[in-house]
Amino acid sequence: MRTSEAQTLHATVSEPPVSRQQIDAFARATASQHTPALPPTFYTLFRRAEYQIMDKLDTNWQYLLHSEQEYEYFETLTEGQIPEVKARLADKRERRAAGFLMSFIKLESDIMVNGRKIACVRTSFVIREPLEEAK
Amino acid sequence: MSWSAGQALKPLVKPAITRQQLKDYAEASGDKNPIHLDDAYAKKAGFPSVIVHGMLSMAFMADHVRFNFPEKAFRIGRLKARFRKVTFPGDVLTCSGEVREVGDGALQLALEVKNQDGEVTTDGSAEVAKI
Repeated sequence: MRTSEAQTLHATVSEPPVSRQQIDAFARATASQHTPALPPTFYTLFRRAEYQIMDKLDTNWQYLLHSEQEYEYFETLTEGQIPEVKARLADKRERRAAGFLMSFIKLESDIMVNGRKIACVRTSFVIREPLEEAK
Repeated sequence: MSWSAGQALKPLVKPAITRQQLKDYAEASGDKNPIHLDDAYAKKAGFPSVIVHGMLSMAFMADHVRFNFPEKAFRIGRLKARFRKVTFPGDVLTCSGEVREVGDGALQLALEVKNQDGEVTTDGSAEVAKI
């Protein structure tokens, strides 16, 4: 798939309002001791739009590895805000090597609150699927 | 405190990762991929046991940035992680880093997470600025 074709795949998801309980549970699970307001990777909760795109790609989740993650922050997310996530497939490349189909996928998401972009999220996955199981 | 290029950040050692932590993280983050929770599933994918969410390592990296650059005094403009080596329950991760560049009120940081064997599991970068 070329980049121009990849960009036609997108998904938009409205998330429920952010709660203090969600933030606290995330901070506890990540043993975050120095981020009382909001752990910087809390935005990983808003992946449903990414997952919708991955499902459209018939992703075999068993062979998926997360290779890179990047957050760019413009404003701070706070309790009570309702994020809207606009995700798009930025790139997908495939390569066959040593009995495996290697897929390299890049997704980009804008996290919007009240129409303002508060963060940009870039995610890269590698899927190393045995050729006999590749769809 | 003023920072200069090449200056090391204070390291942060996180407690050994437990299987319960993976369950808690799956619940809190919504990432319930069984490769992090189910040994049989992970073995079919070629691993000896369940593997740790890469994003948990990145959360450690973020906490390390905040340990050095507290929320009250600094904003994080950007945070990036590359997951280079798989982490397993029981691993003890140490976060370290240095100031790569100082300029225009913002600091560019180089970051690293190593396991108990000294292997780099995750590396990355961040930009922080004084509020």
